[in-house]
Amino acid sequence: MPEQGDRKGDADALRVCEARLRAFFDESQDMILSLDAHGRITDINRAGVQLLGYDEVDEVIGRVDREFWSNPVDHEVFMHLIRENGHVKNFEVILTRKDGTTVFGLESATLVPGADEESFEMHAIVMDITTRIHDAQALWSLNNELVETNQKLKESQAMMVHQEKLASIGQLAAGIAHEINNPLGFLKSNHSALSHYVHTVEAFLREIEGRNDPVVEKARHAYRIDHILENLPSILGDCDDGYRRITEIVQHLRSLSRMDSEDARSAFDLNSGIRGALTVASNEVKYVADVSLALAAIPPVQCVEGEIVQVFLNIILNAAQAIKQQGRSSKGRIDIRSGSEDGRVWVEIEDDGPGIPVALQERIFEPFFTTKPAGQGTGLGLSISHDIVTKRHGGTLSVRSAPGHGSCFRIELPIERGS
Amino acid sequence: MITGELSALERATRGLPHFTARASRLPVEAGGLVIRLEGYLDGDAANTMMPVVLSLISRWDGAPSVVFDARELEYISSLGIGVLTMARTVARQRGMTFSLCNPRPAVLRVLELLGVTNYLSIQNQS
Repeated sequence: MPEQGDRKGDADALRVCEARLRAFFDESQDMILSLDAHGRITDINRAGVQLLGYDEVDEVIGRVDREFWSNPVDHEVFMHLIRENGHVKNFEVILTRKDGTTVFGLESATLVPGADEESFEMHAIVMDITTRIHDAQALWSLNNELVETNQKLKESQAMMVHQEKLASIGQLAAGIAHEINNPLGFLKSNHSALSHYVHTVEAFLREIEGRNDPVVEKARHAYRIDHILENLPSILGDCDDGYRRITEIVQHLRSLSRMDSEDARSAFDLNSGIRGALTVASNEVKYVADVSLALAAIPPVQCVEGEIVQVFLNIILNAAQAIKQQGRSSKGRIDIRSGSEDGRVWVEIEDDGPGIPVALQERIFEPFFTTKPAGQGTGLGLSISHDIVTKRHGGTLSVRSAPGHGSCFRIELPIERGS
Repeated sequence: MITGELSALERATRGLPHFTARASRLPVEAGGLVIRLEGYLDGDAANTMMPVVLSLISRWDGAPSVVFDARELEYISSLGIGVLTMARTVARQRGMTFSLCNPRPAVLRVLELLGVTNYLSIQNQS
């Protein structure tokens, strides 16, 4: 160690110190650089040159450091901070290398004032964090995939449960329909025989009526035979109508149960499907809305009958419930139209209910989305309807709605088998 | 969610020199959660706002959507992007939609460089 006051010793110590600093500068694994007041690089170490993708220090010295920044605005922010505080710590920078690729760095820098306000130097250290950023990117991407997959699983599970319920209801309906159909068969048959017998008895009574037998006449008045004969045609007619309606309901219940099978695809008249859905929904609709039908002659569509009836039923029930929720004093209106054009058949179901807010219109086909009060809607009806129409039948299901004036759902299906 | 809970975000970021975040409920029917970002979203700002933002989204009881309004955001770091991606993850786990609105070109450039534009649902709207 040099003795105090020994100039040679001081110079040696200075050299040792300088050599140590030089070694630190040269051997550092982080980029170390100095800039002048114009942002020109006045010194840079080997790690810095390599980080920027160059071979020689001379290729970088004299260059303006801003030209290496991938995002010029970030450089402005950096300069704002360093002018404000005299230093910046851990500022993330994105640099463009010689070959055009980007590297990510964490820069800490200090401003060293010069003789006047305009002259200063800046010393900076930039740590390469490219690997860390790439790891973070991979993590973000994985998180994103995971959460989306999880969400799809949740939606699929809920839809499966809901469809399972619908299938169970369908099976139940089919079972009930079958059970009703058997007694209905012999009731109709007996009714037909009964009608025939009644006509025979009626003919018999007319015949004895002409004999003017006082005993018969007395009994005829006592038993009000004329009144009975007068009412019999309308009673039998009402019974006929009742049997016809029960037969229709049974048929529609059975069509609702025909779901979930490719084999169930057949040529189906959508107008009949609309009438079927209206029959099943009758009790929900008749007290809240008048229904008008404008059904054109349309060709049959290759589809799964039960699924399409389910779609009509969902939309009709939604319309009825929307009108009902308004609590209006008079009945609402549901207009159902059908038609065909360009190889497609369309059905429109329009109500004069409250309509759908614009912000929600694009979300109504999302699973779980509902505007009904808690416990009154699963938010799956329209989602499943959309799935049935678009994915299973290659059609479209769209809505147009004017808030306050009602909604119109349009179903379009290709006449030939959908994709 | 009460106003005090929404204002927690602004209170948390008030001490930061160049960054402020504010949470509010969109003032329309079925309004979702809106978080407005202003200034420089650097590492300190990201670490400060992360727990508050995640808590707000986890407990949000309004319409199921969260919008980050970035029109006043001037700088974003990877840690800032980390907050956005985590916020999105928590939102999606709760079945909420997520979007990032009106980022400036400089911020958008960083999002592009970090490859997150495809799932941050970036939108430009008034």
